Amino acid sequence: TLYKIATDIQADGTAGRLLSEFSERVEQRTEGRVTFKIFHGGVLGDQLQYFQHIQRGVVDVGLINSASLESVIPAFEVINMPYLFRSAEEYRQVMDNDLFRDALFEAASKHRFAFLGYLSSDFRSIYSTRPIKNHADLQSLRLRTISSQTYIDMLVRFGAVPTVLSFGELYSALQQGVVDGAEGGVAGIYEARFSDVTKHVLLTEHTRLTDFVVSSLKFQQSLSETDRLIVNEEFARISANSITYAEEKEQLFKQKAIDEAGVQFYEIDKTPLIKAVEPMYEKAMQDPEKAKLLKAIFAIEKRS
Amino acid sequence: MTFAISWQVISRYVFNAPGMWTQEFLRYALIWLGLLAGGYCFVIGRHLNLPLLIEKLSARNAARLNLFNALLTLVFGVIFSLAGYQSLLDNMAMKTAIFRIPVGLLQSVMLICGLVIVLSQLVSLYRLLTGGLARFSDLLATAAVMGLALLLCGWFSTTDVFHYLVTEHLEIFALLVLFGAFLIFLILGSPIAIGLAYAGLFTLALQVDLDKIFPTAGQTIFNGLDSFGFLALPFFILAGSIMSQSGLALRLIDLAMLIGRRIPGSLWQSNVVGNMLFGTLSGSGIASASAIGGIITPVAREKGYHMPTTAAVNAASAPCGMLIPPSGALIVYSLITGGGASIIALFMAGYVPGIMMGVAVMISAWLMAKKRGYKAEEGGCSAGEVLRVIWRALPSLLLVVIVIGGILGGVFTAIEGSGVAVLYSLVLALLYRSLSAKAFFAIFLDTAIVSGVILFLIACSGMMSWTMTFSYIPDTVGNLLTGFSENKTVVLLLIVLVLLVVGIFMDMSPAMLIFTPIFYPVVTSLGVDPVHFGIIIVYTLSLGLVTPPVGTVLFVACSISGEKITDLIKPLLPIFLFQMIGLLLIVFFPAISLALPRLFGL
Ligand code: NA
Ligand code: NA
Repeated sequence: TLYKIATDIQADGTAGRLLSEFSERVEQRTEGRVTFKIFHGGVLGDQLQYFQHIQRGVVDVGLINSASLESVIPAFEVINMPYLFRSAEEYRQVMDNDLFRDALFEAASKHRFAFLGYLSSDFRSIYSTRPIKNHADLQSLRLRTISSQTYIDMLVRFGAVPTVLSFGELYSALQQGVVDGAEGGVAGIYEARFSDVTKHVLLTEHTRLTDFVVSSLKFQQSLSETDRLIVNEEFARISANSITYAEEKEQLFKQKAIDEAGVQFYEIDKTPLIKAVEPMYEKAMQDPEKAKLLKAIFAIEKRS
Repeated sequence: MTFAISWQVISRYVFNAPGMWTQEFLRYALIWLGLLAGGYCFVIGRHLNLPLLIEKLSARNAARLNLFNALLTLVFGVIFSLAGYQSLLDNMAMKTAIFRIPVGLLQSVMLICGLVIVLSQLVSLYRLLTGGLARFSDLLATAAVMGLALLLCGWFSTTDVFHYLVTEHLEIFALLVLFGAFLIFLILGSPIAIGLAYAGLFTLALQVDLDKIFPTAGQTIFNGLDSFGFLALPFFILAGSIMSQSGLALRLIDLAMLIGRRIPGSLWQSNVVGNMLFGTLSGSGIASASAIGGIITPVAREKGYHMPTTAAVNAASAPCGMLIPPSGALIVYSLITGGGASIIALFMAGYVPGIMMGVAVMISAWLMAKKRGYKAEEGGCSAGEVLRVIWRALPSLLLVVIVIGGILGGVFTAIEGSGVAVLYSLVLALLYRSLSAKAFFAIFLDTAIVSGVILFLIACSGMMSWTMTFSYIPDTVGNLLTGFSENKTVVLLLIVLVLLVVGIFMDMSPAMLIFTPIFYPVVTSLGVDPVHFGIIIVYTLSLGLVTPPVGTVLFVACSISGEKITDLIKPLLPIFLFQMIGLLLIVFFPAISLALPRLFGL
């Protein structure tokens, strides 16, 4: 059977290539019983739009990032909290933990969808057209962020002025000075050519935006037990690879940005930033559902 | 809404505070405006259709056909209400990012719009039946025919033939169903938006379970308007309307007349020049057609110009602004290519082709004017008069300076610029005291109606193109193309041909969203410059904006002048001929597009 996968990313990016790899291997191992047609680039709508089609079982599989998932399951704010993951290794531990996955799966089925797995992006930092070298330079800086209350809240606590713009509008907004900079993945700075205009990167490494791959309940039910196992196994494989790729890509594009575009990277003492967002954790702990998820993650990370 | 978008700019600069709520507010306000105004347009019967067949029939048969169309629209209203109701139930848990409003609540506008449509059609059915031409038995017969057709389709969907077609030849089958259904409704004179919606519904039914079709269709119609970029549309229509009603744009036209007066058919030449001038202000062919055309039309009627040609000249030259920067279309293209072609390079590349498009209209207008024996304006005018015209046009020109300067200088984005344009024209209109409170209300209502017609159409075409993608139709087309030839120019010409055909049925932005990702990798691998290709795409699809049956700029030009679409076809033909020559020049000589950006080292 031919199933439909919807994404809003480009086919030749890392996530796009991983998804094709997944689709090819599943097709091969199920001997053509399960095949996929991937609709890249948002041709079936943006994330929240095709997510509704997935809930209805019209589209079978889709890519949705943790910020968009906040809109569906408020408890997901937790995954977008700054400095929840302090290293890529910690991130891998949490995402591959069975307890954590069970908690996610339970929340999902209430909202008429299921999780297939995740694809990791790199850590997000702050880049700007102006020199930014430390926390003080962030004050009153107009920064683009994604449409998520958690991200907005975070930037306000850093002392910056958040502005929500679509990714597509960002290049010209930076060029024209509508915003002074943005927060986002380090690899993207070179990849999306922001390095033409933003020459200063402050390595705040505040969050790791995760792309979840979700499927309809109808898709899950239509698979035979054997095929479901194959699908899950193959997805676990690309999930694990995605972290490695993200790290490699970050290094590669960081070097390219330095060598080819003359971008300057600055390390920063993260302690004041971590301190600044502490109230966000205190607030989250007051919500029983969020507290439950947070405590589970902290337990895995062995921190309090 | 004007207030909100101005607030976004003001708050960003004066208070240095985030204006995030405005973004989300405007995004959904636009959808509500589009669907509510769209519903209202059914009440006053303003939706566009192609009345070819209805005009040929006898009064009684025409009444029967009208019965059919009213019934068809009524059923759509029911479907749309159901979709809205289902979405209300389904999507209450999903919240918007900033306001945390349930998405289902926002989507309930479909329920309201659907009910308005149902009521409006009940009223028109009643009027048709009491009008004496149609009888109650006609209504029953029509309903019976529709029911029978539906039963036949239902029976066919259970046969082996149907099953074979869907599993083995879905792309071709879907293509036939989609365009077949659309053409049938078009010929029957149904509202175009309704025809698009039904074509999408039938195609969707090939793949989607019966109980999922309505909410899926409803949601894709709703999403069809979910683009911040469309905001510029009502704003520039409003600004244009204020400018024309208060006599401000008239002064801009005076300037254009000064430039075009020496040529036979000077008013047409002025219209083209006006559209090009306006193009430096907006990236919307629709706004241009309404602002400039809205002023030229009454003058042309007074001076006895041939009105269908006047509307055709206005329609054909209005899309110039989509190539002359700033241009939303070029921005969208740059976005789709992931920055493969930079916005600023595209902007510089757009100047010459945009002017060429206008000049093509000027040449054909000149020929048509000579044929009709129109004379150039007599006599010269004094230097004082020239200065006076320029002086009077200055406030309007200043708007261009403020909006363009503001966008280029980074004070606001192009879309915010449209809000600023409204604000500026409001202030000017107040200063000149040329508008009464009553006139203001009329302008707002008129803007809502004109936007409603177009936005509702965009929404329905959004649904149709979603269905196309869902049925792999664009892929089929892409594969056919690359299988045909490996030669760069041949492939480009083929693409132009495909886009011309696509442009006949589809609006620019959905067409660009669907076909750029298919064609872009093909042509870049053959060595075509991404900027050059962007100009070709936008130029070609611009022509599609003026071709019936689906041509938004054409619709605006027609609704402004009150001409019928069918009467415009003849004067449009010679104009298209010259514009096609321009297009071929652009395809064969990349330097036309690329010289300017190269000059600036882009
Ligand atoms: Na323009
Ligand atoms: Na068209």
